[in-house]
Amino acid sequence: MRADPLAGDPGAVGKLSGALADHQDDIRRGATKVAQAADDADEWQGASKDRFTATVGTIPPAAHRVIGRIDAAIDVLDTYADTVRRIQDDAERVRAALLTNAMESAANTVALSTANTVASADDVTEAEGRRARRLQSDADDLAATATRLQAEWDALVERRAAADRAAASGLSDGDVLGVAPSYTGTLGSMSDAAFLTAIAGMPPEVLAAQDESVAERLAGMPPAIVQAWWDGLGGRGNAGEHSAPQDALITALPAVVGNLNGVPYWARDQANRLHAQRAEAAALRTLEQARRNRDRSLGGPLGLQMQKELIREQERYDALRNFNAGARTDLNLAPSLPRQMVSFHPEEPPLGAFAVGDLDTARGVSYLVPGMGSSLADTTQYMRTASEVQRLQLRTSGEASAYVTWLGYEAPPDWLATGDPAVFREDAARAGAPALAADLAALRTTRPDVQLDVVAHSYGSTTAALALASQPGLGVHSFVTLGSAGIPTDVPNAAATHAEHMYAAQADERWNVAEFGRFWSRPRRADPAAGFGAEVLETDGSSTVNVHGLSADPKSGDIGYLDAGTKSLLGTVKATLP
Amino acid sequence: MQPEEAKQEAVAFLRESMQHEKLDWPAVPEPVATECAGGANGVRFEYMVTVDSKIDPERLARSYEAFWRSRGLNVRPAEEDFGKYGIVYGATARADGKPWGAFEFSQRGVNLYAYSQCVNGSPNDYEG
Repeated sequence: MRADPLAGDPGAVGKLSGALADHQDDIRRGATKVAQAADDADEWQGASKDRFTATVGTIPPAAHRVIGRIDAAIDVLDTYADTVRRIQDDAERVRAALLTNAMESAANTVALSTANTVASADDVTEAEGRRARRLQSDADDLAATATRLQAEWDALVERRAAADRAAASGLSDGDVLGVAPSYTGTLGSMSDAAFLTAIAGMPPEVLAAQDESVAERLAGMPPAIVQAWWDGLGGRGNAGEHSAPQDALITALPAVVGNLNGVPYWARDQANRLHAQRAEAAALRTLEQARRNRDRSLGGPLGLQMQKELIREQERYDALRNFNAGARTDLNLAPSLPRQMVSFHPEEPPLGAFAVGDLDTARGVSYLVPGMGSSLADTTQYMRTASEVQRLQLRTSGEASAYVTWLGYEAPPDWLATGDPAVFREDAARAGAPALAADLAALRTTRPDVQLDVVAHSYGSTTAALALASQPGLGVHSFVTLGSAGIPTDVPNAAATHAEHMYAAQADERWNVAEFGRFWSRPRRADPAAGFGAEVLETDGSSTVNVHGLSADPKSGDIGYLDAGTKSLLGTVKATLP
Repeated sequence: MQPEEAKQEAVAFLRESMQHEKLDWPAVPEPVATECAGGANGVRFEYMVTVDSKIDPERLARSYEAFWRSRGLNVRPAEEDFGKYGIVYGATARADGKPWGAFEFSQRGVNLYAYSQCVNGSPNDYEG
């Protein structure tokens, strides 16, 4: 297809260039604000400052790279607009000349024809002969001019085609896109090692622009491969001392890095906090919209639907808000321990895990697996419960395990509160067990020498037993069950959990909640505290622990399994003391 | 009962408990808000003070058990032998319509707790 030298609007191209320049200014202002925020953090101390500074430090360089690319695009567009404008000016001139030439040629042809007729007569005069010769000469000149003008037009067509090619090439250049356009396509065919090397070399904004398949491939890598790769990016590092490629990965792919088994937990923590805070902000916006929708509805079936949506969005927001609050909630721990957001999955329902203690360095790590009715909305409550164990560990030996509040599965609803019978089935446990097993295996990969313990309550023990039985190599030191909702039949005894020690506490609970859950379970699940091969953790009958919960309602005078001062808390501490 | 009343009552109970034994007690700290478990809709306030010094945990345990019983609380003691770390003593002290207490004593020192009564609200109201 031939290019049209007159086509297009250079003014519109110039406007696009101007809009890009405005966008550039916005990015520049944003980068300046971020840099100011980093300055404002000068008075902070400790790991939080290091993490903030490290994350913030990646943004201005990325912004400047983006500004540089926009600069390159603006240059290309401005050059293109100027060139097209000049070509169009020349083309107008040539087109006008061609038109004039055509009109003059037509008139000359008529006149020449008449003159030639007259000149061919016998009585032709000398003047008539001269006129015919002049008109023929004019015809020759006009034809030469037409040929020259057509050549000029053809040259303009070629110039315009060249300008179009230059613009297309310039806009798809690496200086503008930051990555060769065919690069993404090549990642899929690379070996794992080449793929990991390639993505580690990308700046964050280029990483963030990669499609979902890059994230999926990364997420599917075995933890040992991921660990070796991460270590190769500048050492395992820590929150205050790590490499630029590690920062880039955390900033650009928080949803992947945050849950990437094999990556050290300080990095997962940074990535998950970014991801979870964004999810909370998005949930708040959705909640506000749902509230407006409900307020605008006029009742009836639609109003009821709007109300249900509002309740659902409120629950989601509450869950995300409480999960993020895990980073700052008071825990009465002295000395205070660092916290790490170990995993975060924003789907419905949102799931995650939050640790009190440093999973990269603690000598002991315990996973607390809650039971029926638990969700991210209870994160801080379970963290406080776990801190009861840690406080007593500190009081006993001076050293606490890191405790992970693991809310990584969709627990069945509390049947006492809802009447939902899901807790009597195994579906939720079987769906959640692989996730728990994968998380425990990842910890074992990154921390081969750590003392790993699992403390599971109620239906959490059903899930945890399946997880432990599925992976003989987890190296679990102690598996503690508190008020178990029962162990599935395919885990026939304590030995089948592969834990070095298994302990089970079963109090004389009011309303026999755990016993009821086991009795009505289908298939019937076993009581780990009775003939299962687990060592029984004392609860002193009903004289101390007397309800199913981990902590008890102060109005009632009741006592839960992990309330301060209880026999079952002492036993749990002893079982998990590093 | 309003939250502030519940806190004041718990602080008074904590101070009284601290005065029971002459130890190097710290100042009364800010409480931690925690939910009233067991399905109750409410919040309670947990105060904890610690003393890090070599003590006789058994003597102290018996002393506090008796003290809290004398205050009308139902005391449930517990203990566990931690081998090289010695025996750790714990207890819960409960009573209807009063603040609660709990302790954990080891040869390394003291964890002493006071819990307010449950009042209307949610721990989320106290998250930063």
